[in-house]
Amino acid sequence: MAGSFKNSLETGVIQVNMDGIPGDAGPVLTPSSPSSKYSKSYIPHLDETNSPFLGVVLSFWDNILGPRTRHVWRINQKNVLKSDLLSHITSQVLSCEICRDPYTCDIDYKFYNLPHKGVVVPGYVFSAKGTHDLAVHTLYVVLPSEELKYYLEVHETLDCCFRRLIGKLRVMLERNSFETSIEVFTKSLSECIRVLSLVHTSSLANNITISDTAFSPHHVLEKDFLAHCISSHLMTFCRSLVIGETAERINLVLYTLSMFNNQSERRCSTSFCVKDPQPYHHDFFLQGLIKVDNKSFYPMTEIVVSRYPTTIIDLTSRDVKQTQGYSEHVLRRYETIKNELICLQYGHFEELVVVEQDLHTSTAYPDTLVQTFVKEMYDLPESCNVRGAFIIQFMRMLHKRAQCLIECVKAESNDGTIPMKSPLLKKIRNDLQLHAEGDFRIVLATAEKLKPGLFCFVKNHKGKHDRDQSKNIEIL
Amino acid sequence: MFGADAAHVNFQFENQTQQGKTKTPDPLDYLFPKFIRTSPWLHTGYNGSTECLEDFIMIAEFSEQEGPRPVIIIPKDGGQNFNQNDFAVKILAVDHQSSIVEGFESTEDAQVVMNDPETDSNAFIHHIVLNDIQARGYVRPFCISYVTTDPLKIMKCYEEISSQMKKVARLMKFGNRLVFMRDLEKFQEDLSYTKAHLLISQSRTQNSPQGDNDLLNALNTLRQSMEEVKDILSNLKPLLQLDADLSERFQSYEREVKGHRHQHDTDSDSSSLKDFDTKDDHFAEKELSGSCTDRTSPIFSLFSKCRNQKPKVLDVSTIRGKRRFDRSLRGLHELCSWGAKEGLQKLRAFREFLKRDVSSIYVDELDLSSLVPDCGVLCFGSNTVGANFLSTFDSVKGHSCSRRKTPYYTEDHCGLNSLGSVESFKSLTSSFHSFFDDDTMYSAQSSMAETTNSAIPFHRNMSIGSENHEDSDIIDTAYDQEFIFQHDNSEEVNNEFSNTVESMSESVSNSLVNTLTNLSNVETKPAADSNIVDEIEHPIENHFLDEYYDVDIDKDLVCSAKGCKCHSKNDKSECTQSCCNGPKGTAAKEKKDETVNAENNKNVEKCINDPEKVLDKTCDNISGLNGPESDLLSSELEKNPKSKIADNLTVITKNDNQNVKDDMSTKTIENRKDEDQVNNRKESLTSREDLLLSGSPYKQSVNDSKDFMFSNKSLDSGFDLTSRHGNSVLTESQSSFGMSYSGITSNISNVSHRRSWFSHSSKFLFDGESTLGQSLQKVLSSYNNMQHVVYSLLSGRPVVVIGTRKHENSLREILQALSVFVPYTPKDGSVSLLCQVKQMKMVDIHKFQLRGLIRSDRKSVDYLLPKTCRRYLTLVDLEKQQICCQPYQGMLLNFLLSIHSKKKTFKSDTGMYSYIQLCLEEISSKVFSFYHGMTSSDIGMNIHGSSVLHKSVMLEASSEKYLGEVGVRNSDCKIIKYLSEVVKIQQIDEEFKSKYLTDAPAYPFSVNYQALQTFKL
Repeated sequence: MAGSFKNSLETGVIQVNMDGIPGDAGPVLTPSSPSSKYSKSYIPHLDETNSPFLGVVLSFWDNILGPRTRHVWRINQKNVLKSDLLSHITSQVLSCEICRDPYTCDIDYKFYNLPHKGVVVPGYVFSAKGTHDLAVHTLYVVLPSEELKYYLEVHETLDCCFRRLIGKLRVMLERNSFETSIEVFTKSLSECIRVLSLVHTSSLANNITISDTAFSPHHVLEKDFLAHCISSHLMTFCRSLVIGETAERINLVLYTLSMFNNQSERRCSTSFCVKDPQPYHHDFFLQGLIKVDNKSFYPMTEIVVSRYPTTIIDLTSRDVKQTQGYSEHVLRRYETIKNELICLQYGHFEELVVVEQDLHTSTAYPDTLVQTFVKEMYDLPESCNVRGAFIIQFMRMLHKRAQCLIECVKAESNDGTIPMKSPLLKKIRNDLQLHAEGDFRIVLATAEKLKPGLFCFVKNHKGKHDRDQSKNIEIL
Repeated sequence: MFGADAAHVNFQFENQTQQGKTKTPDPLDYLFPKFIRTSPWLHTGYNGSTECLEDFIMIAEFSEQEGPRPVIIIPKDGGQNFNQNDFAVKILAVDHQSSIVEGFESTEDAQVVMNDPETDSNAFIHHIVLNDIQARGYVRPFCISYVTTDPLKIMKCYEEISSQMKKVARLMKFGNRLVFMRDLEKFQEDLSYTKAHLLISQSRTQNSPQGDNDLLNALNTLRQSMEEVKDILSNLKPLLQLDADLSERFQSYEREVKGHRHQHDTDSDSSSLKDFDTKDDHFAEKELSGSCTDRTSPIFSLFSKCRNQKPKVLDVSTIRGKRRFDRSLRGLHELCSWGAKEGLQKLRAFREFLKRDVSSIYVDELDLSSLVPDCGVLCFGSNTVGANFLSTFDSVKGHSCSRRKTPYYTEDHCGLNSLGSVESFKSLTSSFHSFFDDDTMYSAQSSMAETTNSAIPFHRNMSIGSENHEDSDIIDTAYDQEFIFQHDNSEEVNNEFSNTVESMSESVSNSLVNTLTNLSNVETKPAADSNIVDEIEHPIENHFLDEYYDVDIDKDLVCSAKGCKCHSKNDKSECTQSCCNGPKGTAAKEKKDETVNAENNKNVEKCINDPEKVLDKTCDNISGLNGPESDLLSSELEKNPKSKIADNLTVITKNDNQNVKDDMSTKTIENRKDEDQVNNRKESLTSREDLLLSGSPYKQSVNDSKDFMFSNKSLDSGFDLTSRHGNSVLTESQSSFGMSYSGITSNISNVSHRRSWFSHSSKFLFDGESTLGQSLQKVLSSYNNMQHVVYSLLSGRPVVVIGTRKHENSLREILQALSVFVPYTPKDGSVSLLCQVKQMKMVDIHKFQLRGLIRSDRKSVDYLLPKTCRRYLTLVDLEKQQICCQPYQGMLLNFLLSIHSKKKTFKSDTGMYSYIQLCLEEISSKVFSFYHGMTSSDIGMNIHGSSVLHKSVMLEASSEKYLGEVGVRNSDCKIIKYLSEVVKIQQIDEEFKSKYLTDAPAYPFSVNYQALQTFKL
């Protein structure tokens, strides 16, 4: 469809073709123009009824026609996106991008709340190959206004997913014809949309109470192991993958750890469901996997491309491991994503396989915060409310600590102008009583989530090594 | 669009030439992401410079003459390193009005979030469309944008920002619609007048075919216009009726302005109490003439038609088609009238709230969510939430800022609809809860603590040793502002009402807030905030003073019956009760409140009726009291360098004109007088004087109302009454001149304490160059042995800090710093500063937790604090540099020692403050364990049946044992026990309130005598 349209464009004849407009477009007040024509497809294997999304749209700035919708992935069949709505949104998102440099690799985020249209639209603006040359594109998701709250909860995860997806899409469009690209891209997109739709209904955000966790007397989990899990979980920015043999055990740990996540982090977590086991998806906070053949296989690619490091908890071997520290993870993540794109550019559509790397065991960083917490927790009466309150208190104090750390680092480094040297850091740790490496990492991770860039700023005194690494990446 | 392409090409070209200089770009470069190391604080600003860009708010419009342009920036100097014009072009590039509609339609707002990696900025943009009869298509697209460099803030606080923007938009749009409707109505009149005029003039002149044709055309045009106007009006009217509350609010402003004008015309002679009014009168006149009086001579009103305005003949040719574009468009203030003022004010306050670090916003939010249920909360000082012992897990609000628990309102009020329609009018009835709502207030407050000149018009329960109504009074004083117009640097000076009001109100709120934070007596239970808010807002309604300062419109709107400014003795008990009632405010209670309110109204009216009498009385009092000491004090005053105080004034008002300050004081006094508003201009001078006077320590005192037994015979309540007028200075015997409360002469007391409140607060302001954190830092590092004092506070032993006038400043500092450690108790007046002359009695001891005393040179410490009392007090004598207290031996407070001994050094005061908060939270956490460990233990069961005494011994023993096991020893045990006691008492209180609707029985108080030691300060 797009091909024939392209031809008509090339001949310079603008055909007013009514076919492109869906019959149910409603009152279209302007005559149909070529700009209202676009290709459509569906996202396969999706439970539409539970999906909060109405559709995903790719549009671009046409040098002749201005903002133009290029492709629509319909998600909700009942509530089909109408072309006048799409052209409205497209022009909104793209119009202020006239002066954008098409050669930039930036992916800009935009968010539209259009109540008169009844939709909220998160969108990404980027450069990609258009019909002829580079053009400013935008990939946006349409959600009904009622889903705003849900969207705000999944925003961070969706952001990570879409940035990765757009990177791929750009390369595909560069190398292949539009149709092929869309076809391949649909696969990746549908995976992402499917998981995000899943957490709309079933995530850890709802109905998990403390009685479902290991802190309730009805469940048993070894205290030391639990403490390890929690401390490692907190060190890895509240992201964990739990691997076990039975769904109950996996879920018990997932529920317990979810107590330490906030609402939106719980929203982006899935419990393990035996009937419908989900593959691991990057940038979700808590996920479970069943152990197959007693072999430890970790979905390393997905783990590495996640924004934050991950704790891997093996319930059978009682291993609590975590991926590299955040400052190394950032580099590695970048490297992996770039490699993935390079593979794609050379025509390998398959997943990039990342070899498993050394994982730290959580005992590498002993901590006192969580140890004390768990001990005190079990001294408390078994009433769920009391224990729940205690967790809240613990998390509050953790965030207070993080706030202190941010304040101190800010003051000591003179708003980030003085690089953080070891003695300075030692002083701060001493002031805040973060002597144990584990404590420090936990607080630092909490702080990084509130102040992006802090972790690398504080933990970057390896200096030379790091720079070499980033140099390598540049060469790559 | 083709033009756009040209721009594109041009840009590309420029870009390429730039790149060409460095290196030839790889055409595939765009495919691969760059590695960006985010820096936590440094951001690449406009033109590549790395600078810290503070958040700012920009209001921009799409002018039909110039295109996109920035209109107002908040703060005035915000966004200097930011290309505002480019940004305006970017955000206003698209028309957000919904596409094609027939006839007149009010456009819905749209909200946009965008990030720009080039400038490293993130923006939240709220688009509104205002109506302007002079504009093309009657529309003026505006947008309000919040710009920040923080990548997380906007999305994390989306709901908060969104609801705030909606509120601002609502205010502006409502104001705008009123103006538009007036304009239309006037236009309609003009049209019909023109029509009549045409017909008449035509009939008089000779008929010619050409003339007939012209007439026909003209009439046709007129008819079309009239139809159009009629159509718009019919669409507009129902929209306006939607928002009755707001219209009431604006009406009250208008009344106020009229009142001022009127009063100024007639009441100039009623100021017989002042003898120095001339200068000020002049001053006032000058100011007024610049604004109110100078406006269109018939009073412009949004609500009633101008009587004196005659319709005029319009030039028919200009009605249609031939629009004039040479005249400038009306400014925002002209377009929205009151709406713009209130809206901008709200924006300023909101910016102060939101400009903080995400981490502190988030931590505050966590604190807030842990305030529910409030009876299990252990709080310290003004804004440290130690722990909540009884959290229900569900109440955790994890992520977003705005979805806070608003316990005082039922769901439909606290509005989950904040996410609903962006259309400010559609959503206003339900979704309007501002960030001044109880909870958000709280977070705002804590921001106060961190930033000196934050302007959050926010007030918390600062139960400064007096009944709550006093709080409402002060706040009133600050709220009730009059319209004084001066130049703001915002761009529309040409409007009828000048913008000053905002800047002024900002400064008022500024100072108010500062005051509140700096007040040493910040003993708070944040959960009670909304009570206070209600209380505070109410009086405003009751007194229909115009609070320019917007308290919280929405609250006003939602809940209309709580508390009152003027409590008579009769309803006092009831009121306090309703105030104290926790979040479980049931419908029944509300009803009661309403009745209380009604009573209060009566009282107010009563008081209003005889203000003169009241004032007379006050004067009598003063003259009666003026003794020989007055001389002494006035000499004192002279010594006090006024210039210094004036300096202080400028310090505080920073960006604002000093006049503003004066106005604030004017306000105080005006409020004092409530409706009778005698001659405010003269008063302004008085209050100025007050401010100056406040330099004298004697002028300052916070009440502990019950403390002042003193020779005021006119009041049987036994409370001190103080009020100063003119040059009359207080005698020493009036030492307590602070707040006083008298049920009978409530107005007097209102007058006096409000004023002293104000001067008190300003005094605190003057000292308040130091924030809570700064004074903490100073006190903890410069005084020895503070851990003993803090120990006293944490273990419930009253602390008195005493000094002479020389020590006043350090005394204030100590009080401010120590107030951080005062655990919240339901007691009133636990923190105060006063000048005391009379001896302290044993009965007084339990009335406070921390008190500063400024003693006169003639009264010795031994006299003021007799030995009997001193045993049960911790005494910090600044003169002798001594602390007399029970020694502290333990581990919990070691952090104080290490701060003092410089083992821990904090470069920033905010860091230190958060660290101390953290330490308090850690202690609370221990208390938490103890509390639940003890309550759950079954010792109580085992000894069932034995005597009470025995039981208590057993429990005591078991708690000792528990603490021993946990590793808490010595003095720490006492801290832990006392703090858990505090929570227990709250729960008992709560129990009583919920079950019997009364206060808990007397607050248990125990004194224990223990050998005292003297330490060097």
